[in-house]
Amino acid sequence: MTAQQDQDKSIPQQVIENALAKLEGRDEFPEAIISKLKELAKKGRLDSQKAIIEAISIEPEEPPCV
Amino acid sequence: MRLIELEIHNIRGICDLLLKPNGKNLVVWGSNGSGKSAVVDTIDFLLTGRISRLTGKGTGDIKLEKHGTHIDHKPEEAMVRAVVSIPNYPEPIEIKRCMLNPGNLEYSDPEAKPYLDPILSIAARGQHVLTRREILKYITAEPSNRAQEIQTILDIREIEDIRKTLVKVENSCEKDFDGAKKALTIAVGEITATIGIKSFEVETVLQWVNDRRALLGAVPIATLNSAEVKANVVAPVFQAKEAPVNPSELKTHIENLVGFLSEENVDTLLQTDADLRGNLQQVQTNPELVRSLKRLRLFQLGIDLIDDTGTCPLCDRPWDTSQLREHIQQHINEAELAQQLQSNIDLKSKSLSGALSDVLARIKQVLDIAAVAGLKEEKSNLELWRDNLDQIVELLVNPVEKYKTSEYTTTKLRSMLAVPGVEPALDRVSTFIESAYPKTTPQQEAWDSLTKIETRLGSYEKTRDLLMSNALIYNRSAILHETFILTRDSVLKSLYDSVRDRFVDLYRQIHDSDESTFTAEIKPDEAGLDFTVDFYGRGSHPPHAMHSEGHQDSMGICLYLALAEKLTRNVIDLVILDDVVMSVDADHRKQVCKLLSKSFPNNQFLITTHDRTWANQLRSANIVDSEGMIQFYNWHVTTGPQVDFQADIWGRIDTDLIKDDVSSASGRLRQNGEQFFAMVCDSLQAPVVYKLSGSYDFGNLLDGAIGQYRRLLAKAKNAAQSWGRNEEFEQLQELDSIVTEIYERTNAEKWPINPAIHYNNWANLSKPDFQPVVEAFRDLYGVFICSKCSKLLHLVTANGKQESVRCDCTQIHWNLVPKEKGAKKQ
Repeated sequence: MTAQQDQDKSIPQQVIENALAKLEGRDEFPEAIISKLKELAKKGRLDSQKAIIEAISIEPEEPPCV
Repeated sequence: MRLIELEIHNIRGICDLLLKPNGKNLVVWGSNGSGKSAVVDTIDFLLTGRISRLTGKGTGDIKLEKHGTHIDHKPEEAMVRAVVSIPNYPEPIEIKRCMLNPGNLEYSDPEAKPYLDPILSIAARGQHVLTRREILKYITAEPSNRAQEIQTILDIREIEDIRKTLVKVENSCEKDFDGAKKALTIAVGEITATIGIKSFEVETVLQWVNDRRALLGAVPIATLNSAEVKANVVAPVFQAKEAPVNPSELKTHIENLVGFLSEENVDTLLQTDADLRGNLQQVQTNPELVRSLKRLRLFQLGIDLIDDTGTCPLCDRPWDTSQLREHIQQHINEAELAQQLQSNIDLKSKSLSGALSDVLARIKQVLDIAAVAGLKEEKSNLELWRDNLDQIVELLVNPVEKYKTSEYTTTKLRSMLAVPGVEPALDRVSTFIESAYPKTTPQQEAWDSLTKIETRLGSYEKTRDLLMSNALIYNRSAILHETFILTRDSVLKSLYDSVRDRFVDLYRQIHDSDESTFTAEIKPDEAGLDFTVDFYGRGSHPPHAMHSEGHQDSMGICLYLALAEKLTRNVIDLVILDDVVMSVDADHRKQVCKLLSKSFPNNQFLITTHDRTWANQLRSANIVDSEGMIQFYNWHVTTGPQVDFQADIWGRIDTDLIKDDVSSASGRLRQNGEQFFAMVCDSLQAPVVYKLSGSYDFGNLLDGAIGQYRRLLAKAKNAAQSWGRNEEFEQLQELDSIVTEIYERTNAEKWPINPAIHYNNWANLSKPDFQPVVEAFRDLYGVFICSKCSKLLHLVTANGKQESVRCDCTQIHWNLVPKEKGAKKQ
């Protein structure tokens, strides 16, 4: 992300997006959780305790057996 | 957003007013109480539906519908309408708000609403107006209040809301994790109590199960699993007829419980507790150690987050990766003492809670029998004991946070561990078991034991899975919280650093003459925001500690402009400065003018002031053109202010004369002339007879202006001649004649000898006598203004020497420097 793109965002947006970017790729945070957190951020629901706990409780889907 | 047109009806001291700034800067000036700030209030009302000045501390009885309207007017008569241009929207739109329904903003074009919403959102935070009151918020406020104000203006309260939620999430997950930990301890205790072992080891339990399976003729199982405990085991035939009670197992429980109550055992437990409370006291009385424990996790997280970008994940600053790893590792090492302490605490609390959980599991079994037997007193004793031990186990789940050693003294703990009356109660339950339950066969006992262990293992497996899941979620919540805090600090630091840099840059522009090395610090400190400024290289101090009020005003303006620029770029160009340079001296005001012109060329400023000099300085510095100079005067409760649009001065004088109103026309010409020639004197640096009172009249200023103009013109002619520029000389000569002719027509030279035509007596002249005077002054104004760029002529000097007279577009450019002797003619 360029500095200009960063500047065009609100400060809370910058904090949320940068924080989620730091979590991406960490073992504790599978893709499904990151997606859910991004969705909550988009909807402005990161102030909901219940929604966040639901998001971080998501279990990653097992890969299908072959 | 820029203001193109503003129409006000019956709001805050203004009856009817139409301003047409047309997107350009506007200066509204007039004495105190002339109604200037009502314009600011009205724009505030238009954009927000409220009037900031009527809100806040001490405004409890002030109501918008009653005090927002002009006196004696109803809310439905109070209305403001504006035409504004909006970024990315093709056409200007009209917006309107009425005091009757302040929450409703009417749009001429509803499609423009999404484009206007961001502007209204910024305005709702008060970002568009700077008043003296706001300056105080930034400069003299306590750090916590300043933080709140600046966070509001930067709209970062949302970040704080999210942080609070993440704290709650982490606490909730920690609670669930602690609950699962306790449940697992109890489940383990139930297994060890059933088997009669001190600690849970899979091999031991598996052997115990296989021994009983062998008794019942079943093959051994290889893994410990509740589902397999009784797999392929045939139940003894009489099992169904017997009560599910194993008297020998119960007896073992009771013997163990009695052993637990022994003084020797309690002393051993209290010794472990003494070691634990020693460690806890070290941690709980030393906040630095608690901080170290917290930082340990932070630094461990930081070291995990290091990647190849060369940026520290904790502070977002560039670092050499290997140096960074070393630096963070050093911090981790420093926290080793805290870490050691933590593992001691974990070890001891686990040992204690293990022993207590074992006892709790046994008590539960005995309690069931006491209930069946109807032994009420015994049951009550055992329940009290169970509750006490349960309370201690709860403390041991998270001892650093929960175990308050001062509250749970050793004496108290001893009485909780060995409740009086429990031992005789256990004896009576034992007697009951012996009489009520006959001895069973080894096969029956084996079957009953396997049944119990099957249930308890099932419960253990369930709680173990729950604990693992809760641990994962708790870990995620902690990482999420800490990553958010790290990112917040990093983004805010970068934001505050850039605001500080811009603030310092702006302040230096104003105070370059005396504080060219000025510096400042703006940094968050806990919940506050520390703001310190350099005082002439003698250290950093709060902004209101050492600097004068004038300097504080400059700081307030600069900090506001730096913040506004950060937040409103490309969204809202209108900046309202309401009487904000009250304490700034004239020289520094000039620098403020330069600052606005140089650093904020794309903003639209609405500036109000009671100070004519400041208004003139703004005009002289071309911050505002003549069309943008609006004077308010003669405010009256029934009519509001009288308004003088300087640009239309000649039209207004003509209107007065059409009505034969020489008195008004002459007053207008004199008042306007005073302002105009004051600006000319300033721009040509004309000497004027000094007056301590500072009140220069029309005559002084006119003399000063025309005298300086002639001196400079003579100098320009002389210079042109010296360079042999004959054509230029001829033009200047002709100009001199024209100016002389115009000046003669003003009669100004005859004022000292003919009082009847003196400007003091203009009001007594007849219309035919005054008309030529008006014409002469209209022409005289033109002498000082460029016909192409409409800007005043100004004198250019270098190192104290007069070099040229010119206008902004350089159509007028008089060289004042003559050729040096010996130089070739051009």
